[in-house]
Amino acid sequence: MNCERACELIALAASGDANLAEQAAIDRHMTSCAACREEAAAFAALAAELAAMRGASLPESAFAAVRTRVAEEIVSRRKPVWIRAWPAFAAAMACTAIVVVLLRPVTAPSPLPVEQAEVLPAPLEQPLAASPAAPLHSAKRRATRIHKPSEPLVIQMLTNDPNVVIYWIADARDGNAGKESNP
Amino acid sequence: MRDTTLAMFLPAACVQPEAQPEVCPDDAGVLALISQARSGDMAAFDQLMRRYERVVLMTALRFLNGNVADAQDAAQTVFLRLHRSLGQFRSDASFPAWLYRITVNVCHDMNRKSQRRAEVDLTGIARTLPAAAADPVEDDERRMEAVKAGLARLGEKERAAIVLRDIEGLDTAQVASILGSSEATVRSQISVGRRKLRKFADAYLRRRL
Repeated sequence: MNCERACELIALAASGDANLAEQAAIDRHMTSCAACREEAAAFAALAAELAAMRGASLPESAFAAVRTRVAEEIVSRRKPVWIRAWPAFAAAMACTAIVVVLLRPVTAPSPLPVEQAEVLPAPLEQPLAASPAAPLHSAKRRATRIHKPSEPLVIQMLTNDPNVVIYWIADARDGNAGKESNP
Repeated sequence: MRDTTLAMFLPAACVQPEAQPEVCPDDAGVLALISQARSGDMAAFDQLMRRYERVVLMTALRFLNGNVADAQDAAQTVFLRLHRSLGQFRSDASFPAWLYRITVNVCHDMNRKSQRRAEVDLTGIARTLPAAAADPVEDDERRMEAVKAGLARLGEKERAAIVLRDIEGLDTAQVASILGSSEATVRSQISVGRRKLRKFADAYLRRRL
């Protein structure tokens, strides 16, 4: 056995990991090799130093901290999903609300041009001659009436000539119907 | 700094050379605790943790180069993984060996993620520390420091074999079982690891002189 092979086995034998045959071979080699005897002593010292680390410890607080963290984590995992997830759910809802508010289309009501047209709810049965006689301030008041979608639109257009009034009747759905009248 | 190197410079009072390895036999008490913990008994799980916390935390500390905070993180992961998989434990298997295996796997994962290696600047140490070793106690402490520094420099598999065999005091068959290797492979890793460790420690001490 050469010294290199002996050294491999001596490293194992330091803590009793060599089998009987290997140990016998090492012993035979060391009877005639002072360098390997020194190696054996050095490996035995190393094994003792490593074994001495076995007793090293940490303060109790280091262990207690781990126990506490583990227990907290386990208790936290046992809670129902909806309880564990509610902060995230609340945050998601808040974000959604903010996005909806920011993206909402701004629709300002367009003012009705009272001077140009007025909307009346189906005054077809009224005599056409009666409307031109009505004063202008009365027409402005009537323009504020609310049109119901189920009724046809009747637009009365006034002209400079009080004897000429134009009515335009439009169906609310197709918007094609129309009628002009000239008294 | 103190936290990260605490394990490398533990006070002598913490060292108990006669302490026995923490590999407890799987007695009926442990199996009963496992059974109760499986059914949700938190007190039983707490007892299990107290029984094996030293094994887990100190082993993690040696795998993670003496970083206490990292070792605590690893121990927390180990116990949570244990709690989650208690149902998979077979009563005919060795519970400590199973726990060691979980610990080794968690530490390897952490080391791979951080690619952590002890950065021992031998030149810097040689410059800042006293050169002579007049006091035999001081000499022993320096040798121990050299061995710990060398341990941190070993490869993952060699370090695992040395930590479990030489420091934790498990036998080769148990180490092979934990590491999922053959006994021949573990013997080879132990032999190579010890020789590297001795060379490193000698070089470390020579640098300091």
